[in-house]
Amino acid sequence: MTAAANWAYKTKSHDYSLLLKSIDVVSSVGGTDFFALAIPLPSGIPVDAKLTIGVGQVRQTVSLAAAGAALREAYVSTHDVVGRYYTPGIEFWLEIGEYPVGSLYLDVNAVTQT
Amino acid sequence: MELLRYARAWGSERFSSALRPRRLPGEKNTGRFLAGMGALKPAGLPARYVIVGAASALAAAVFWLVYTWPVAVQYLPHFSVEYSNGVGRALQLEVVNETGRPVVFCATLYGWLPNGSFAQIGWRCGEGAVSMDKSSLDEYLRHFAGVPGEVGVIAFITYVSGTDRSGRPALARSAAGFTVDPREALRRDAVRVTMRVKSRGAPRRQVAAAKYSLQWPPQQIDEGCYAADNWYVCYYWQYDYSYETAYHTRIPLAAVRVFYDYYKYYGLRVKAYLQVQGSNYVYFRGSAAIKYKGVSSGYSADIFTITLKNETVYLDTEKSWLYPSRPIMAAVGFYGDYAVARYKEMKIDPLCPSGCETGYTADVYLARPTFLHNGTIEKF
Repeated sequence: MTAAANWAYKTKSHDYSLLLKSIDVVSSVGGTDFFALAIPLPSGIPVDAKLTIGVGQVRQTVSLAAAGAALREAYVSTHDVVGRYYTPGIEFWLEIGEYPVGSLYLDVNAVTQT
Repeated sequence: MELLRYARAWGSERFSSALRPRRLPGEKNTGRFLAGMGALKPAGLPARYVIVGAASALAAAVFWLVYTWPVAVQYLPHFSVEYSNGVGRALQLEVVNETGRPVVFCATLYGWLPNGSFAQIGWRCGEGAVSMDKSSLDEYLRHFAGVPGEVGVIAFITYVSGTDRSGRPALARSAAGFTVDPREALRRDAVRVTMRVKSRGAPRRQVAAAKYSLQWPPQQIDEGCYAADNWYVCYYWQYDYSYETAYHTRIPLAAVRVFYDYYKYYGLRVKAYLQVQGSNYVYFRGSAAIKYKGVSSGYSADIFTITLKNETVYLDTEKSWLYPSRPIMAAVGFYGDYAVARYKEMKIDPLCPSGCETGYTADVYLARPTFLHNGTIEKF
């Protein structure tokens, strides 16, 4: 994923099952509750990595996207799921101003509980 | 739609009052008032001819009003599109700033054809609004008659945005876009598009105009795009080459990836759902990075390729992968086309009448979904 190479990221964790929704990622980067996600460039194209495709909706959130992972029973009591999701760092001009948008590209790994 | 409702309400009120005979203040609707209409009768012409003539004129007026009544679609804050009938076929482009004031601009319009090539739809400079031949737009839109939404038109706009330190009109460059309903646009005579750009305000017009009218010939203004004494230096963007294009390929909207610890997972899940309800709409937008001699000078993410307004579920895809047996990336999304293309800005002025490169380039990244026969988006 070129998102991993070119975009910043944030993390979110959960005990055993992590489900990340579009409304969460958009609000975590300071966006609105409008559905607004970015899709990165295909790999290997020598242009500004800031270029993205946007898919979104105005006025209210009807559309959504989600990504998640859950641990096997054997690891539930000993591990947490940590998700790293990528933030494009761009803004869309929406109805009431310019707002950052999120993405739903999620890398997960299971870490031992401390 | 609020705008449309308001326009119709206002129009019907104005229209009905225009039909009503005028009455003196305090006068009742009596025979005297009706008899007063007889004063309209021309000498020597039977009343029935007058009435028939008036009725015909009225019917013609009603027909004309219905025929020419515009349909306006507002996409705040980026653009609005109005379709209307009338005399002559035209594509009108209006460019305003955030407060709705007209700006001085040059715009080149491109369409992204189904075969992946780009077609120039029009090019014009002006202040506030310009009019172009609509035939190129119609030809472009005929390729999309079966698309269940509105298709995008890419607009490269160079416009005057305030005044620079030396008092010259400062230029801003923007790549943006608007969408047009192919069905509505093809059956109407005129399409009027209003686009909104971010502006630092109008230049100091009197000072700038006086200064530049003295600085003619144009080697003095080789970095300007402005109006002075009804004269414009005009810029346009020219398609240069494509970095990459792909058709009917998978474009992921949501993805989750696990690495070496895949065996610890019970399952992975991804979902994407696009639905339009009410006056809401779903958009697909591209972006552009503008550079001057290789140095970044602007970025825009307001190039709309498709907007979907019909109330329906366009995409509903969800997948789960249980007990992954190896590192995996699980994704859902849609099938579609994408293109990454380069444009270069050209300038036309009296010293360079056939066009010269300005040093500005724009890399544009666009995508659009593939539609199935039932109007939904092909999913994976």
